[in-house]
Amino acid sequence: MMANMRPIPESPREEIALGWIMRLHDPAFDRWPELSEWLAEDEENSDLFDRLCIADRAVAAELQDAPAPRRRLWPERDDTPAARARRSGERMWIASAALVFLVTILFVLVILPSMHPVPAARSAELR
Amino acid sequence: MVDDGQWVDESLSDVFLRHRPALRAFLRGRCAQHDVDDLLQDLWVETQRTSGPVAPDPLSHLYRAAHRLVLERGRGASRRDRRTSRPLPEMEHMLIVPRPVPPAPETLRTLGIRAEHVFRRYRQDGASRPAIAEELGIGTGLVEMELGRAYAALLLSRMRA
Repeated sequence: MMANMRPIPESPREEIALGWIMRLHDPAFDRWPELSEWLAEDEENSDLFDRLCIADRAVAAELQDAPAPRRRLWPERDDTPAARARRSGERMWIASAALVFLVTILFVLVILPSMHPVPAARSAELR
Repeated sequence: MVDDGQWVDESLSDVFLRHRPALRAFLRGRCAQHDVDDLLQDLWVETQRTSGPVAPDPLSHLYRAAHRLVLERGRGASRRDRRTSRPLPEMEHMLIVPRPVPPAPETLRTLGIRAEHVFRRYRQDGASRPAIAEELGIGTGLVEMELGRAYAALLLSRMRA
């Protein structure tokens, strides 16, 4: 239950400090003078930054001790015979539906107009 | 040596000397004044020990080293301790109960597979945000959003505990 209560930044200062901590780990981070300025701007900035840095180090240490679980970002392909049969059935349904759709289109566009000549053509014939 | 406006073949010591005021300013933002000189001295010693070029960005290397020194020596904490802090009234003492913080891996798991993957690639493997975005076939904005969620969930809970 506790894990679901995700904390969010309570002030713009917290949000900015978190942003700095986050960017700091980018290998290409080069905004050091800007960070210096922000830290020097207010003692509270510096305090908050320090506290978040300490928390960040604690997190890094915890994760170091607990390697990433072997989970996949995408679901693994199920290659059991039952799954293959299910996929084959699904493909058959899709192919049938596509065929019915094509036949309907063909009927509406080609066969139907030839069965009922357009009124304009008929009136031209009368004249 | 200057090549196309960039300094190349410059030793770390040269970079330190050239950027000492900026490094001092960075440390001044983190520590009490009398600690700044100590840390600058430590940084200089570390600079002397480093042999060979520090690619690709020696200045960033120095800033990172300064940042690490601050954390290692706990200057932030000692600085706070030195301040005259208001003693907590008895009632506040009674109300403050340490809140349990779930372990970091558990917190990451609750954020979802993508957020966990993005955070670990960025924080543990040192992959850049554009590189992660390319790996996953998503935009950099989405990577930043996942990182923001993960950092907030992990750090704020520990800071407030």
